Formats: sequence, structure tokens, C-alpha cells
Amino acid sequence: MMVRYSDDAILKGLYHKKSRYIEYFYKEYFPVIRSLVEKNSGTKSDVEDVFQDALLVLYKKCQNHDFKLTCSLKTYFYSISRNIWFQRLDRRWRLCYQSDPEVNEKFVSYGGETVDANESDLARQRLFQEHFFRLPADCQRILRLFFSKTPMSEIAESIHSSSVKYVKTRKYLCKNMLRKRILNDPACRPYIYQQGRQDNVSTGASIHVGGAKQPGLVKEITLK
Amino acid sequence: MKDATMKNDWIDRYNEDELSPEEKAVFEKMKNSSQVLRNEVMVDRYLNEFLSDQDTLEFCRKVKLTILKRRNGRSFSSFLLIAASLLFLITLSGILFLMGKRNPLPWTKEDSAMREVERERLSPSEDRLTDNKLFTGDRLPVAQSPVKSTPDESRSFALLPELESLIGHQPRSLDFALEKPGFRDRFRLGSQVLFSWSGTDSLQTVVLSLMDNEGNLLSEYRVEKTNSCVFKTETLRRGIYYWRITIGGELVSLGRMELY
Repeated sequence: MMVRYSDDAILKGLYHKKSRYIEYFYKEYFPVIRSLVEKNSGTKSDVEDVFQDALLVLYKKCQNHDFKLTCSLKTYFYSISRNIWFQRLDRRWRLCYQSDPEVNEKFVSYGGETVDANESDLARQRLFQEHFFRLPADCQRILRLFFSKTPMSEIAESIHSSSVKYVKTRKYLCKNMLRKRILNDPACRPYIYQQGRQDNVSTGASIHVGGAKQPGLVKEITLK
Repeated sequence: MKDATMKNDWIDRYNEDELSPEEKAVFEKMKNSSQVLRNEVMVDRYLNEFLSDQDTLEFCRKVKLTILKRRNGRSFSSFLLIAASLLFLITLSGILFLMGKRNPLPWTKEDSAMREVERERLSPSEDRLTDNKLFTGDRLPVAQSPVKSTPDESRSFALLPELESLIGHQPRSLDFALEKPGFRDRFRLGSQVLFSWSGTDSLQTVVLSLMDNEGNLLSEYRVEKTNSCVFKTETLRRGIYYWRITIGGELVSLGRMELY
């Protein structure tokens, strides 16, 4: 018999990063998101991305102690996912939306009031995650320990090395590897160019797009 | 090369605010003149933010694992389903093959009529009959639908040499004498054919069989306590047919009739 959890229990489970609740959440809510995305010109891969991003937004919401649900968790999650998917479709210039009859649409709002999810930030974060999880296991370990403020001597012990210098070099190499991989990934381009645009505004420099020199603020650059 | 090494090291140190004021000034000058460097600095800054949030990273790892597990689980289920279907098909075809071997088709052009007669004589319980009521009499239990297998018009008038050689056959051991019909009579399609004979007693069971011109058994009927029966031709097609009379599994008479 399948156990059913209340919305509060699920949120608590997500807050504590419990795998059991994440799996339950996947079983219960993934089909809804699949329906939303696939009905609106999305692929299987889009479904997984939207689900992952929406769940991350929900997780971050759970971290906020003032957060309170004003509708069912399903409707709220649907709202987050729809918001993300809308932004993504918007970015791809092929917006064509069909509502899902299973969800009470009057609680769903699009525009950022209910859900402050920036699709672009989420996509970047996912890109970083993908590259991070593809790093060698020891690299992941060193970077995790380093960024969780573990002393270098302890990191050296945990990787069975007596040299702190080795750990520093290794950490530098691992991070460098990760950065290079991200920069070489074509999916990274939109975020780089967006930021490049801001840098140009601040420095007054110019960048080349499609062979034409455009000074100062570049109107719109979308590579995808 | 030296510049590149320095730059990579400096990116880290710049974002962690570990450069001296002089180094920082030099680095910013380099950064302002290079888009590539600006990109690297920006990605490194994002990376620092990303890696600093270990809780989120751990959560994302668990979500990713769940998605992968589910995806692989689904693929595995699909694989199992396909494998089971294949196994089922292989088993089914194996069973059908073995069944085909055990019960070969009884009548082919190569088989002689005598072989069939002999088989029936040795194992009368395996008699096969059809469902169509051609004869008046008791229908023997059988499963075959031969009338439909009658070939097309031109082929249905061809003679079958194996049975032609047996027409008029009558064993000496019995006093059986066929009165009607003749051994090579012609009948109009739809007419009724009367079979009558003498020389049998009331205890003997006479079996009347009908075959098409390819030797396929179409119908078999058992006649008891009488010396005649009527054969209906309305359900047949035009062509050559062979009839056969057996008593106690022994062939006593065989003839041909042409339906026109």
C-alpha cells in the first residue's frame, strides 16, 4: 500500500532533503509536469529540467520560515513549473500554452508574484550542477570540503595526503577544470553574453555580435 | 603560457579578494581589455556562489539521483516487457512447430489414398468430420472446415490419380453391394444424391465420407440400422468429388461424382 503524505509533511521532508520524500514527490507530481510541458511543445528532457528547476525553487522556498502555502502544494508546484516553462518557451520564441484541466487555474498566476523563479538563473545553476557532477569524485570531494569551510589540513587528511600545498593545487586544478568545461559548453553562451553586456555597460566597452560592432548596451542577444 | 597560468591563478584570487592592490589594478586592466577574461571571471564568480551553497548542491544531487533512478527503472521495465514478449513469441512458435510435427496434414497430392484408408483402419477413433450437414445420418465428431478449401473453378474439375485408381474397389470378404449411385456419376449442383446398398446387417455401422479432388476430407457421416442415406450437394461448389464407404474401418467402396 502506498503511503500518502500531507503537503506539510512533504515540505518538511524536502526541507530536510529526505530522499524518501523526494521520491514520493517525484511519483506524485512528475506526471503533472510532464503533462504541462509535453502538451506545450516540450520534450522529455524539458520535462526533467523543468521538474528539477521547480523543485529547487520549492526547496529554496522551504528554507524561508515565513513561507506558507495558500493553495494546495500541487497547484503551487504547478504554478512554479508553469512559470519556468513559460519563461523558457518565451526565450525560445515559441510560446503556445494549453492549460491542464486537472489543476485549478484560478490559483495559478504567471508573472512572478506567486513565484519568483528566474528561469535563466535556474538553467545556469543546472548547467553548473551537470558539470560539477561529472567531475572526478576526488575533485567533487575537495571542492565540497573547501567550500564548506573545512580547514585545509582536514581536507588533506580526508584525501589521505599530508601536504596542504597539494590540496591547494588540487583544488585550483579541479575548479579550473570545472570552469573550463562550463565555458566550453555551448549551453553556457547565453549567460556569458548576458553578463558581457552588463560588463560593457559598466566599462563602456563594446562587443561584436554577428560581425557587427555594437557599442554600449546591446539590445538583445539570444543564441538559442 | 606564463600569462595564462598567471591569469588562471589570478581569476581565483581576484574573486576571493586575495590579490594585492597592484595585482588587482593590473588584473582589472587585463579584464577590461579581454572579453574572454571577463567571461572567465564571471563564471568563476557564479561558481563560487554555486559551490558555497552546499545544502542546495546536496539537494540537487538527490533530485538528480531520483530522476535518474526513475528513468532507468522505466527503461528496465520496458526492457523486461520486450524480453518477456520475445520469450512468449519464441515459446509459442516452438509449441506450434511441435504441434505441426505431431499432426501433419493428412492429405496432400503426394499422399496416396491408400495411406489415408490404412490410417483410418488402424485408428478409427481419429476420424475427422466436418460441421456441414451433407449426409443424413449421425455426424461423427471432427474438426475441419473443408468446403471452404475447395479450389477455384478450373482446378476443381481435375482428377486425382491416387483415388481414381481405387474407384470401384470392393473387398471379397464382405457381401456389400452398392446399388446407388454409380461410381462415376454426374449430378446437378444442389440436387440430392441417394446412396443405397445391400449386404450389410443392422448391427454394422457404415461410414460415408466425402473428399474433394485434392484428397481433402470434407465430411464423414455414420449410418446405422439402414441401407440408405441422402447426400445434399447444395453447400458444395461445382467440381469433382470422391465419396468413400467404410465398414468397421475397412474400405468397401469408393467412387467419384461430378457436380456441374
